[in-house]
Amino acid sequence: MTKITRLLAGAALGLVSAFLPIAHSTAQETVLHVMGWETRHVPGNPVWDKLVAGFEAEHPGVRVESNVVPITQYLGTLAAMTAAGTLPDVFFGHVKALELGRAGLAVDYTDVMTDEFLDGFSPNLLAQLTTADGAVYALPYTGFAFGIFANDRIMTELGLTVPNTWEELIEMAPKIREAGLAPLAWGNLNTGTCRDFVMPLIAQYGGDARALDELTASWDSEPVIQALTLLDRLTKAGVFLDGVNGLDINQATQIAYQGRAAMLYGPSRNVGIFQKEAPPDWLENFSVHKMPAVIADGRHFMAAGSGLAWVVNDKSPNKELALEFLKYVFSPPVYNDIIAGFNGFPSRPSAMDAVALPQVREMIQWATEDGARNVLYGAGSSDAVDAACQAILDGSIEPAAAAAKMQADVLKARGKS
Amino acid sequence: MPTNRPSSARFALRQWNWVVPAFVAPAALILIVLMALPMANAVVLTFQFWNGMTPPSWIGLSNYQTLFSEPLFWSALRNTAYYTIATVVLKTSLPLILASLLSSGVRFSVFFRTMYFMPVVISLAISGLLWKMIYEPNFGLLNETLRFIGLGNFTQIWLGSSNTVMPSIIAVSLWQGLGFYLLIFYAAIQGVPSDLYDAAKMDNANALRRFWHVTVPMLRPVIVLVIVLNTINGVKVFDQVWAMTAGGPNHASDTLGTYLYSTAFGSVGNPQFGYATTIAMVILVLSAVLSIIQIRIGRRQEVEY
Amino acid sequence: MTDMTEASVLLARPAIPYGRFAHYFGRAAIYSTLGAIGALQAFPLVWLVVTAFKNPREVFNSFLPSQLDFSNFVRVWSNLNLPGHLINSLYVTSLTVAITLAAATLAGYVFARFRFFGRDALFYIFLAAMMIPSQTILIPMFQFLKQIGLINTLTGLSFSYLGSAVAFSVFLMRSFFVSLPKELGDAARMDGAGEFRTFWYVYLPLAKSGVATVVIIQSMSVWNEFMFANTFISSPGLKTIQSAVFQAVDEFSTDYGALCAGLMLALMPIVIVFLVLQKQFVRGLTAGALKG
Repeated sequence: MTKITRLLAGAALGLVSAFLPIAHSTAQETVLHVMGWETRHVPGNPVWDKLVAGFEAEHPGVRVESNVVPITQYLGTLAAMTAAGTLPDVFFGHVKALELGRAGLAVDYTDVMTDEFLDGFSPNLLAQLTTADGAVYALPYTGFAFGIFANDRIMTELGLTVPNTWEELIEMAPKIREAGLAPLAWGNLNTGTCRDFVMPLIAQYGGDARALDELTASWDSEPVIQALTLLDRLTKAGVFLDGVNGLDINQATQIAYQGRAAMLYGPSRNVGIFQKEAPPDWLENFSVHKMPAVIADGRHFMAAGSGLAWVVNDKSPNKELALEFLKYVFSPPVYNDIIAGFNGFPSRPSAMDAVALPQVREMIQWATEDGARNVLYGAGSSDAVDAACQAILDGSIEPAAAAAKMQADVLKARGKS
Repeated sequence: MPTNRPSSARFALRQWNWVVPAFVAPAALILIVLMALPMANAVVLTFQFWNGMTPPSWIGLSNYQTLFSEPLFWSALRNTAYYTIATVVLKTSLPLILASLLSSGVRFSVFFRTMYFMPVVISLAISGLLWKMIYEPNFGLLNETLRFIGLGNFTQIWLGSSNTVMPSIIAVSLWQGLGFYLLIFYAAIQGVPSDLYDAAKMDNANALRRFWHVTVPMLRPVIVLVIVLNTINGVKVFDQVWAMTAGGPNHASDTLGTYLYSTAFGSVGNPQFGYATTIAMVILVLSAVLSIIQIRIGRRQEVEY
Repeated sequence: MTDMTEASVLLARPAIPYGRFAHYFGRAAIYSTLGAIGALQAFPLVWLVVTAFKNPREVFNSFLPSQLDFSNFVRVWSNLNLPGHLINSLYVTSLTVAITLAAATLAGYVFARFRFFGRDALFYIFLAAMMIPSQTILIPMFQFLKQIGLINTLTGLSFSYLGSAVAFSVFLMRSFFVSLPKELGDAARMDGAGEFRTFWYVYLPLAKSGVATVVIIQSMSVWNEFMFANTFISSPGLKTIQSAVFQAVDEFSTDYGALCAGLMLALMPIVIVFLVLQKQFVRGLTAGALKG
């Protein structure tokens, strides 16, 4: 290549690089940056497209841009953006919602939204996102409830009914194992599903998750120790899959699909997923049940809450627009469409009728009565529970010691922050 | 192999006065702006406490003190040492042996080389996903194959139990890196003059002795290079481990790299960027020290560079 | 002279039948070892490809699909704007490699052929840059890109790769230049060529294989990079192929067929490039990448 050619090529590359990758849009347009891990919030998905089109029609000159970050990268990306001050306008707060609020980076909805609007949310869902002094930094988008999905065909073949108490489950475990199946399938790799299992157990033994999260109650206490002891007994009785710490929930679900497990522990979201992905044997034979209780007529506390909750960036120039967006999203016709289209678990009772799947409705019903908080927002809480859980599941720690360690871990994390 | 020594007498002083800075400038500029400055920022961070949300605050050597008294750090260090030693040994010796075999006049060597190199082309994130599927205890390829050939008793919960997780990850790292180092060694062997081998054959040296007494000494600089590269990559390992286990189960596969990431970005308390960068310092110092030692040892017999 | 005596003694020995057998046995052992390891290397990828074509029901039941089913690809493709993301990745890769080559060939040349004050120290600093784990500079880099206004641009992403790319490539190019004879430079100077012309017209063409090596290694490294690409780019339209594929397959959590199809789509471009360029690559390594 001659020198001239090289110079020209370099110049061309330079010009191209100046114009091609610029993400900032040209003057007139305002871009509303939305971020989450909901994979359906993408152009091309009919529900999302309709939502965006409607909003853009009401607000000419505005473009909604959705950045979907896979859940496994989410916290990392969020932390990086927070540190560099480039948080999007409205995003899922994950477990950081309350921390962001306290640091002044998230809008307190009680300051900007009407009481009427806030009252339209399911009280127990909103309560989980409210701080002790009454501030609300995240609005629940959809909720979830955890339950047992049983393969009726297998249960009937084995002559069993879905257990009502944990003792019953432990008793039937050997029989299911003999048939070469796993009694209760779920996976703990990377997702902290164990936390979703243990927190309701703590509630069933009378513990208060919110107090624990805020450290007004100690983790080293009776309800926690009892819950961990039960988890330990379940593990040793072979109720769970072997190597549950090394399986992720998708693999566990696959095991249930293939008929190698009698029951599956999972969130209400699964019902919608089954419609899309499950093989006929599972789809035709599954039924939903409440999580077992400690005693025969005890409360069947189950994990329920809102995992997807919208936070508005308090430092964003588009703050007002973001709030408008949320009001729009939660307005009845739009929100009903979302719930119907995503087979979601509504966070606003007014949208209950839009829920199409009967099993989801059932689970919502149970959650309203017996929902227990499982998402922990305090610094270090989630991690302490995860660590203790994993250790109990692989049998490397005694329940009492685990509880003490949890308390120590949380104190240490709080001390640092 | 003679190394060229530029003899300064041949260069007129006026000529390389401007050449050296001018030619090195672009690379040096890039390194300073895009590497050294961020690193300098990072070093400053090790003396601060910063959670990303509130402004950083100075805490002196507190991060270092916390780090060295933290059991998770030591277990991550142990895992990293295990990983590094295993990969250095495996990813140096096996490719070397295979490269020798390939150069001993086998046919289809191009075919073999290509097959061996294929995994190298794959990104670490993708191969992590792929192997996660393969290692899955109930349906994964590995356990299914074991059951299929009658070795059902040997099935393990590869990524889920603490005693098999590190070896499983090391195996994937070996799978992925083998082809790359194999090609490097293969190319280097081509450069060994064949009369050395002929002389050895005349001495009735068998293949093993030829390997040990001709190949290895002649390839010394390349072997040192490969060891250094493997060490550097081993000490800072992150992607392979994160994609498969994220340091689990229960920190059994946590390495310095994953521990760094999880303290910086995970849900361990709030992000602790200062503390995380301290871990990075340890990684840096460790690889620098090990590399220098290895290069020094390797230089013992080499013609001066 | 003992070797000669030994050799003649050995040659005088009658041919023992098992000598030949040992030879063929040795050959057979070598081929089977190479073959076995080759199979182990290739098998996971074969499985990937095979599973991508399987009907969802068959994923766990049989090894080979009963027929080639493209539905997995269709499902993944429709979630993924493949051509757009390919162009994004291509842009980032080309820009990084171009700048790296320019900087690294110049610097490597100087390190190889000139002696100057601080050369060793400077070289070790370059080496040290290779040891820095990328998570460490993630946040500072993020802030830096934001300061210069290149956050969320592909150019900015490309810049973030330059540090370690240049460090490694200088290392490589230096080795290539070291193996070239100095006499060429002297001859060129006697013909009146200035330093740059010597570099450009004499040495660089000879180091073509070195350039090819740098191109292949850096292309692979940038194409496959995941962490920076995910963090620095937030606009969906600008995402690289790695980010996009991971996002797409996130939805198919239990659907191994779709997962494999997606992974295959992400792999294919780089595999094709490798297959096309692999001859140059080996030639490049053979021509002395790593002498000293």
